[in-house]
Amino acid sequence: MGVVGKSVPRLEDAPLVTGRGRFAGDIAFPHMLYMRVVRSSHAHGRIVSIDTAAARAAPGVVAVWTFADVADIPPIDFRLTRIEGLAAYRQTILATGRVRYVGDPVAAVFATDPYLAEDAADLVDVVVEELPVLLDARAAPGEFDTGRSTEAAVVEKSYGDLAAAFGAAHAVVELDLAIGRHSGVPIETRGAIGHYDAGRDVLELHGVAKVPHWNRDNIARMLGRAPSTVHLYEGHVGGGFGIRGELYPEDVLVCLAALRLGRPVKWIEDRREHLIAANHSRQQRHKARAAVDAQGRILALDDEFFHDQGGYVRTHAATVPDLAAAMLPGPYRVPAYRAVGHVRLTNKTPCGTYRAPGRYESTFVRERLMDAIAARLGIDPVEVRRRNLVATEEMPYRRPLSTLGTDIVLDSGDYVRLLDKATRTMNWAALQDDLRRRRAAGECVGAGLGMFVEKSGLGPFDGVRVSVDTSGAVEVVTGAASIGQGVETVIAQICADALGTDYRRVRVVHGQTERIAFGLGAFASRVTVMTGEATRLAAADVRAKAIQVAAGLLQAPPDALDIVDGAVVRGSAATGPSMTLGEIAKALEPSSRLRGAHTPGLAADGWFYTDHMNYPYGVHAAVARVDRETGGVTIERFLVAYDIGRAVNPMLVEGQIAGGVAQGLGGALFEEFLYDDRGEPISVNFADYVMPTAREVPALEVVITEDAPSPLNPLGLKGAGEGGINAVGAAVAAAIDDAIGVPGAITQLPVTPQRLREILRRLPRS
Amino acid sequence: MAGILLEASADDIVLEADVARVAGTDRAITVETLARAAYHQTHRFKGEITPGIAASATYDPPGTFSNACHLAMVEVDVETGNVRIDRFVVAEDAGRLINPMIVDGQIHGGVAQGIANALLEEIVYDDGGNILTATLADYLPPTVREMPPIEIHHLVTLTSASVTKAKGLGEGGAIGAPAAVVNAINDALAPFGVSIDEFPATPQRIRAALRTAQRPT
Repeated sequence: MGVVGKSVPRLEDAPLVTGRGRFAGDIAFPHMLYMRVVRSSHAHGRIVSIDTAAARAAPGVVAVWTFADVADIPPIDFRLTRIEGLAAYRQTILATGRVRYVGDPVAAVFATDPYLAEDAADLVDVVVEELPVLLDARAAPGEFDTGRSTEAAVVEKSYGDLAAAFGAAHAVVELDLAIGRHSGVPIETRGAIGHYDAGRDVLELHGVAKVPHWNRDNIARMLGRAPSTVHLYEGHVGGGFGIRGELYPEDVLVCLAALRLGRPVKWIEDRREHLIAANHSRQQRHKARAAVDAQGRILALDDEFFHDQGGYVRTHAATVPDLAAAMLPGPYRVPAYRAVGHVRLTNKTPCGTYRAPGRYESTFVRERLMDAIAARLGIDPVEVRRRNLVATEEMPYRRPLSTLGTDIVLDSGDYVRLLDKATRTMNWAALQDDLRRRRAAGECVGAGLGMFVEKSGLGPFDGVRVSVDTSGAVEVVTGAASIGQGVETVIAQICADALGTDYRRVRVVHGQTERIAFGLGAFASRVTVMTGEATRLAAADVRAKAIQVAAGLLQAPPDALDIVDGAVVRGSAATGPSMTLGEIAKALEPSSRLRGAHTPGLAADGWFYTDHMNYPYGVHAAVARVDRETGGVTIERFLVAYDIGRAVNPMLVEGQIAGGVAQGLGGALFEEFLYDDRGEPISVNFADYVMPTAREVPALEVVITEDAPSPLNPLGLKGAGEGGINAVGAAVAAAIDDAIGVPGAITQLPVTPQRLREILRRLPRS
Repeated sequence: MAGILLEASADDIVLEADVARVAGTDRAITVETLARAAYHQTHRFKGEITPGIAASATYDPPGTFSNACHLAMVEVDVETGNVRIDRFVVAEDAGRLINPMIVDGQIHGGVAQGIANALLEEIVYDDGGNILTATLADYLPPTVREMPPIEIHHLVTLTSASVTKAKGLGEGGAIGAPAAVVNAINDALAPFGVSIDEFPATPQRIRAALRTAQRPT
C-alpha cells in the first residue's frame, strides 16, 4: 500500500501558492548590472556598421558590446541530433556579418539599471544593407553565406519497396498539408543572471531550466573554463515546454559579462523579445501520399516535407525534422515507408523543439491521411484506423527507423483496446446520431479523432543519490530538472515506496550542478521513467543498508525486518523493538561506534541505463461547432485516452494532459507567428499572437489506462509530458471537416476564422 | 575505464604523464578524453563502472601529537614595566611538512597570538559586569611593532599514525609562546626577587611587582 499510483498532493505547491517561488526575476545580487540586447530590426541584411558611441555615453552605461567584443567566443553548439553539414549554420552570441531575422542580437548594453540599459540600447545605431528575404521554406533555396545554401540538410528515413507498394495500390491518397509556426509560450519569459564569485573562482548562472548540466558544460567550453568551476542553479520555472532552458546567446552573454565586467549581470526577457527571440517551432509543409489496398490497409507512406528552421540552427540541430520523419508512421503497420525532410533556413526566428516536437506535425499529417483514406474508400474513420493498428501480439514491434540515437522498437501497447475505450467513452455511435440530428437542424457540428504513438524515457542514463539524514529526512539529488511538471512529488513517491517512508519526508533536489556531477535534465518525457527508476534503485540500496545495520543492532535476521513509516520494524508488527531511519543514519555517522564495517552515511547512488525509449500511445477525439458566419470554432468536447504504462500520480498525468490539450488547441485554432513580406514579425504581443484562455478550452475527458506497462523498466513507467498535445491538431481538423461536411477541407493549421471563412466561401452553395 | 575503452585488462594499463596506456604498446588514451567519456559517454561503461572519475574515502586516524619547544629572550624596562622580545625561537616537530611555507605561516600566526596572550590581550570587566575592553584601544592585539622575528627549526619525525605521516600544527604556536615569554620575564625580574604569576604580563602588573621589590643592592 504505497503511494505510487495515488494522486497525492504536490510537494512543490506550498511556496508557489503562497507567492514565495523564486523565479529568474526574483534573483538579485549587490552591485548588479542589467543587460539589454539590441536586436536586428531587419530580417536579412549585411551589417555595414554599428555605432555604439552614443549608447556608451548614456547615463549608467558600463559597457556596450558588439560581435567584435565577443569574437573569441565560439557559436552555440548542438545538443541533440547533430547531423552532417549543420555546423556552419550555428548562431554566434552576437551577429557577425549578417543579420538573419528580426530579433537577431547585434549588440548588448550593460547598465546600472534596466531602464537605462533599454534607453541606451535605443541609441545603438546599426546600419544594415538589406538583402532579399527568404520566408518560405518551400521556395527555391537561397544563399545563406557565400557558397552555402539555405538548405542546410536533408533528413531521409526509409525502408521497404515503395515503388512496388504504390504500383500495387488499390488507391493512392495525396495531401498537401501545412502546420503553422507557433511555439511554447511560458508565463515566465526567459531570464539569466550571471555572477562571478572571484573569491571561489566560480562562475554562477541563475535562471536556468531544462538542461542545466549540458548548459554548464557548454558555457564552460565556450568561455574556456573547467566545468567544475561553473555552477548552474535552477530556480522555479514558469513553464518550459521545450523552448525554455536551451542554451541561448543571452545566457552566454551574461556569463561573459559577469567575468569581464566583474559585476553580476541580469537579463530578463520582455514579452515582445520572447515572441521574436526564443525558439519558434512546428512550421512544416508536407506533401504526403499513402498507398492502400481495397480494405483501406496501408501499403506504403511517402512524405516529402519542408522544415522552416528560421535564421540559424540552434541547439536542437535536426531534432524536430528527424522526429517528424521517424514518428510519422505512428501506431499503424506501414510496410514501406519514406520520409524526406528538407531542413531549410529562412529569415525568421530560429526554431527548436516544442512539446511533442515533430509529432504534433507528423500526427496531423498521418491522421489527415487516415481520414482521407476513409473518405476515399467509404470506410468509417474509426474502422480504417482499427484495421491498420499494430496488434498487441506484434509487440515489441521493431520499426526499421531510428531517432535520438535509438532504434525505434514499440515496446508495448494494446492500441485497439485503447481505441475501443476512447470511442466507448465518447459514446461514439450515439454521438454520431446526435451530431447528424443537430446538423439536420442547421447546426454545423462534427466529431473527429486522431491516434498516435508517443515516445518517452530517453536514456542513455540517469543517476541519483539518495541519502537519509539523522532526523530521518530523505534527500534525493538528481541531475534531472523540473519545469513545473511535478518532478519533486513523483520522484518522492517512488523513493518513499522503495525505501519505506512517507513521501512528504523526501526532498528532491534538482537542477543544481554543484550538487551532482551528472544530469540530462528534463526533456523528451524522460524524467519519471529515467530518474524514477534510478531513484528506485538507489532507494532500494539505502533500504537494504538500513535493514542490514538495524539487523545487527536489533539482533534480528535481516529478512525478518521491514521498513514501515520510516522505521525498521520486525515484520510489519507495530510492537517490539524498532529503529527509525534517523537513528540508523546516526549509527552510520563516520565517528559512530555503532558503524562497524559499514561505510559511513545512510546513502546510496542509483544508476539506470537504457538503450531504448518507450512508447506510450493515445487517442484524441474532438467535437467541434463551427460558426458559419464568422468562421469561429468552438470545441464542445475533447477526449484524451492515453496509456501511460503505469501512472505514478494520476492527478499529475491528467494535469500534463490538460495542459498539453490547451496548448494543442492553441496550435490548432489560434497561435501563429506571422510575418509580413519584408520579414517583419506581426505576432509580437498577445493581441496578435492569440493563445487559448479558459474560455476556449472545454472541460476535458481524460481516460488514463495502464494496459501496457513498459517492459523496459520494472515499474512499467512511460512518460506523460507530451500525450496531451500530440493529436489535437489532427482531431480538431477532423472534427471541423465533419462539421462542415467536407472531408479533407482542413489542410492547414491553425484553423483561424479567416482561413475557415475562406474555405466556407469557396464551397459550392448547397 | 581506460581498460574498457582500450579493450585491455585494467591490470595492463599504466598511467603516465596524463595518458593511460596499454603497457608496452602504442594504444593509449589521454586522461582528458577518458574524463570526457566518463562524464559524457557514461553508457560506454554501463554496468561495470560508476560514471565519473571520482572516488571518496573515509579515514579515521587515532590522532597525532605534534610537539615543540619555544624559547624567548626578553628585556624588561624596569621604569615603565614594558617588555620587549629580543629573540624568539621555535623548534617544532609536525612530522612530514606537506607545505613548509604554510607550516611556517601557522607558527608565525600562533606565536603572535601567544605573545599577545602573554603581554597584551585581556577582556576586563568592572565590578558591575560592564566590559571595559570593548574597543581595540582597550583590548590590545599585537602589531608588527610588538613582534620579534621568529626563528623556526623543523624536526621531521614521521608518524605512523597518519597516512601522510603529517601531524596537525594549527594551534601549537599559541600554546608554547605565553609560557616561554612569561618565564623569560621572570628570569629578567629574578634579580629583584619578584615574579609574575598571571598573564598578560602588562606593564601595570610588572610595575606593581617591582614596586613591592627590594631594590638590589
